[in-house]
Amino acid sequence: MAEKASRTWEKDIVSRAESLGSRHGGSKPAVALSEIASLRQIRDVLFKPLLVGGVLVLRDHGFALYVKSRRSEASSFLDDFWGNGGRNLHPRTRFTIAHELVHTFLYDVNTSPPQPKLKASSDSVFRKLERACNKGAARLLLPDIRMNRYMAMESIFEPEILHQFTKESAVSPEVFILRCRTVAWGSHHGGFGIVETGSDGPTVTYSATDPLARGLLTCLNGDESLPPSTTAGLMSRSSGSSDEKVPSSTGEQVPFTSRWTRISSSPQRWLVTFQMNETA
Amino acid sequence: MMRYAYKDGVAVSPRSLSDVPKVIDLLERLPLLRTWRLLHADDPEYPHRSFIVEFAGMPKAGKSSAIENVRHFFSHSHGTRRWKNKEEWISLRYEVHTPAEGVSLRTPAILRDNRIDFNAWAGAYGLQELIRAGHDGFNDMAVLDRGPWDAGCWLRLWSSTDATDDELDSLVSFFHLKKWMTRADLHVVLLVDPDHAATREREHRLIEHGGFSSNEAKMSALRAIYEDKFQALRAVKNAACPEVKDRSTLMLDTSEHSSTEAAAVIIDAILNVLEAKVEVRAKNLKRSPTELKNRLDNYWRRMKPEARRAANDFLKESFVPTLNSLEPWRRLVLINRLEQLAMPEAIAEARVPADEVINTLRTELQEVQTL
Repeated sequence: MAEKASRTWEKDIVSRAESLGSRHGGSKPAVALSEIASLRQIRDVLFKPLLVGGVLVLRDHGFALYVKSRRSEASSFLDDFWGNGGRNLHPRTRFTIAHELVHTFLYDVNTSPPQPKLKASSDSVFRKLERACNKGAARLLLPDIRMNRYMAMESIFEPEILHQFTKESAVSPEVFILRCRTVAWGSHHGGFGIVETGSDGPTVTYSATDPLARGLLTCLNGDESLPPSTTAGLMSRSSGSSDEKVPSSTGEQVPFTSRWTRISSSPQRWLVTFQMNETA
Repeated sequence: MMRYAYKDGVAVSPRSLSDVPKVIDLLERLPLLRTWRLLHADDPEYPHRSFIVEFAGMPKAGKSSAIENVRHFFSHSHGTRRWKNKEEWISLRYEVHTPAEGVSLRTPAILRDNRIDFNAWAGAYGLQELIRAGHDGFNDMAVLDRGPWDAGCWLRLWSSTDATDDELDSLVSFFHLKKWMTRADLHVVLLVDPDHAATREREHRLIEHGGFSSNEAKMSALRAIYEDKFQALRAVKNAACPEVKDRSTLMLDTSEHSSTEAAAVIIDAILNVLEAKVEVRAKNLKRSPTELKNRLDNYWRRMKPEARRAANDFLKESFVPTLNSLEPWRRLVLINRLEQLAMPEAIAEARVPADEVINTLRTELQEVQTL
């Protein structure tokens, strides 16, 4: 019963986020968060140092939104938020705001102050709720209309083009990958990943339509079976590509192209794509 | 005379005197002035006063150069590589007030024929600036080029000619009142050998000047007065400020120093006084885990019991002991950062994750430790 209820919230959250995201940024450079905030009865947005990324506060007739920022950034962030829809804010900050905006879906905003429509009575419900809000935030920032436009392109596996798309949409590559899990890939076969090297070795966040691409992306976690040229390329060059072959479950050698570009140097992060090529 | 070499805009490695402080070490202590100002705001008598440095000394001893160097150091060091782009709550760009020197620039020239009037006027001007600095809410530091104490020394020089002994004693006593002497945080008295003074005088002249600094007898007499009065000054200030003691007075013979070396020694002396005063005021600047928890209560309320326990343990076992062991100025920086992290309103949403709270606190601590 609870499972069914949580699926219903998630569906509701995602659908409302999609609708708002499409209306307020589907065809613009990036979704205008301030327009959505006004619609969601956000009366005040405060950028300040916080112990957490962002929090929602109940006020009479609506909400206040606190968003983590350095003290020195607070004024310019506020200007950008109300003056430019928050399009120049850091992608992480935008995601936090989007997440909190999605939280307002869980309140009845016709009461004063808004009343919660449901209570996270247990840990598992709370976790599901947070996950649903994350999905909703990703949908708000990258609605289907925007994702479909990208997926309709020929060159979706070009990391530079993908990186440019995320910059234009003012989202992190992680949000794009999260969205890839719920969008139609058309005729494309392959996968996207973000590799980050840390003290415990590399970690990878990925999304793939093709099982072989998924296997290759999993290999980026440190498995030795990763094609050597890709590994060497990641370590030695900021961007590059290589044509390789990988054995399928039937033993057939399947050609693919790996491409990568470094998107940050501290910590070291790469955007990696695997495009599965058709066999002759 | 040896000069500083410069790297990244900062003078490095003074080579002529091994005990001259390194500039990079001075820069390191730059936040002390802001810390002192913040802590001093609680002072019941002069909560808004500037940090006051009163210069005195012989002509050609290098007072003006030293004052300009002190002003430049405190007003421009925030732009050095050491501090530039540091995300810090304090602005290290200090306002330094350096009023024009009374004796050569402000005192009417027509008074020069009467030494007593001339020095009394100059002393009164210095005293006005000293009093003003005690109520200055804008400037962080005031550097007086000859204050009342200096005027008292000069008056003593002319004692045998222009006034009765009683009159002079009264005048000198007035300018050397404990009330004025203890108003300045640091007295810097610069001396120079009469020979060196004459050489410095000649270096900058096309024709012979023949001024006071060329008069070896007068210069020697003045030096003797400074040396004598300095002991009295130090005794009064030591008694009044036992926590600062000798650090509140500096006598420096600049004969063998370059102007930058002298400035480094003086800036070090200023920082030493600040350090001593901050140390005293920061004694009570400690925090307990409960105090911090209460200040951050709006987050704590929204934590699950296990998360709250983890956050409490972190505060008690790691964060608070480290905070309380930091140097006073870093402690103050961190406490102010924590104040800003406080959440002024009750959080509506579900639960605050302990790991995010702990990570943020840890990051703040690391940033302050490496400032």
